[in-house]
Amino acid sequence: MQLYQSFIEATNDAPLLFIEQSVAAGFPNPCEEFLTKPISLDTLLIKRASSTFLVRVTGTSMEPTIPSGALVVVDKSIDAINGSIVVAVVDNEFILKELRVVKNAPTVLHSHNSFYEDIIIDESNEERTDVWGVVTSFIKQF
Amino acid sequence: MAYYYVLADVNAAYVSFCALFNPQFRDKPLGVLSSNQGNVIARNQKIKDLGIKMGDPAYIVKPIIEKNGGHLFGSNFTLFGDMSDRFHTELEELIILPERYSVDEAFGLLDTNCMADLNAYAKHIQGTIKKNLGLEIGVGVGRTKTLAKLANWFSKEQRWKEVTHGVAVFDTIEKENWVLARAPVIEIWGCGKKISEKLIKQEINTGISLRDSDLKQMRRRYGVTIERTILELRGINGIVLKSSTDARAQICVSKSMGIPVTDLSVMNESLSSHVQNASFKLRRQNSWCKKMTVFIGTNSFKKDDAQHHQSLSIELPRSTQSTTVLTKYALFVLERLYRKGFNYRKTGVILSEFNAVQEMQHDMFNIEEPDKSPLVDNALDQINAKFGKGAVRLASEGFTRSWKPKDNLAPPSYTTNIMELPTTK
Repeated sequence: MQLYQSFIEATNDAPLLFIEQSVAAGFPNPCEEFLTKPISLDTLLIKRASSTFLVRVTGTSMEPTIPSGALVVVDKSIDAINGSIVVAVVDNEFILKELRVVKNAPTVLHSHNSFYEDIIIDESNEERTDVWGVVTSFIKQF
Repeated sequence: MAYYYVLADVNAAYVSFCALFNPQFRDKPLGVLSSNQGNVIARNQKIKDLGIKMGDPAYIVKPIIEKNGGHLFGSNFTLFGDMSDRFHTELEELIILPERYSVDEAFGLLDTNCMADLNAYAKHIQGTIKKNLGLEIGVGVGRTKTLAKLANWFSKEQRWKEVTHGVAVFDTIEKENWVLARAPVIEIWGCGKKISEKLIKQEINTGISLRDSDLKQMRRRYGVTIERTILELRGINGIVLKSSTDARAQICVSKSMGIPVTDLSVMNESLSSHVQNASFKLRRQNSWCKKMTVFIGTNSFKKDDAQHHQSLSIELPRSTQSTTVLTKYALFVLERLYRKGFNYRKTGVILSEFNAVQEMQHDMFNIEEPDKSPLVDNALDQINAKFGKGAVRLASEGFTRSWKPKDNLAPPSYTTNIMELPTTK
């Protein structure tokens, strides 16, 4: 009975240890030298962890490019340029738009959804318009 | 002189952490309340301008803030801790030998050989943090830590803000003298309230009169701390930087309970939760502790209530980092401290006397089982890392947690919980 008890404990506590021991007697694993870390989505999506934030999309203004409900990865350290998709602050709210900077024309925040009009970034505007961060990718889970 | 000390700190840190995700409050009076939501513990400039002081009670402040379109947040130390970590991580790319001095302050060194223009470099540090984290910081640079701290104070003083814009570099004696002549002694690092009062009686009112006072006489009268401060003001380093990789020498976890508690079992729950947090920190820095202190207290602001504040330390039979072992001893101590009939407001635990490895001494009187809980603790930490703090806990922490501070005002964990992310339209 006591033996049985300790067997249960051993398997509950350390399943990994258990497997390791049974392998030791077998044929050496030819793949062992080639073992690397598994693929990491973090490394793919996050280049600078300390300045990267995840933001949930709750609107349709960037559809069809970015659907509502998606997660956007925002890196604040990146400088926004023409064509950057950005999280901006307009009327004290976060909005997701494409930044368009063209010579001899006002800078605008453009929606990919044609139902929304462009927002002109005007210095004289009473409400401040700022780029909060640049979107580097988005994640959509089905 | 090749090296200068730098002190960078976040302006109104807790408030700024909340404001980053709440642009609607950017230019409004903003405050953060203590964890039991009783008092103001952080303020931005707008709320200071309304005359609201540190520690003011929430119920008095709230109507004033609301009338002015502002907001009071509760505390969320998960959010604050993560933002603080980001601040320190960013700084560590910018300064030499960084030291995480507190949640929102870091010391470090600047080298004039590779950062020729100290002023421009200090502004670069400020600009980088503003860009990458959206946080306003103050940067002070000086020949010693005490001078860097003074430069930082100067950079933030409202009356000179137009000139400093949050950056002050003491790269000449003239600049040091100018600020020292205008800095009250209470603003000098190392001069507490008591010493400052005595110094003022002695007609030492400003930093400059303290710096130029008689060193031997001051040492005889006030001790080595003031001597070190004076030397630092004279440009001689007396305070050594700690490397931020050094493990902390003690861990303290304590929080006010949301409601007054008289029942021992509720206090057990609260203390167990603190022990869980403390032992997690202990394992994270790879230490084993030999000593534990438990303390409890009633609300000292409630003058009418009967007061009971007491602490008790015990030497552990063997150094440990196990939640289960520490909880067992903590509850044992609490039972001895607790007295019936008091309205307790606080429980806390301090772990100290750390070893880097577990002592392996087996003495013949030690009848206890060897510490076989690392597997349990590891599993606990991993599950809690994956599913959020407190997902799995010891039964002694309880299930209802009636003592928990009411957290309806606390901001979400915007950066650490996928269910609480900021949203964009």
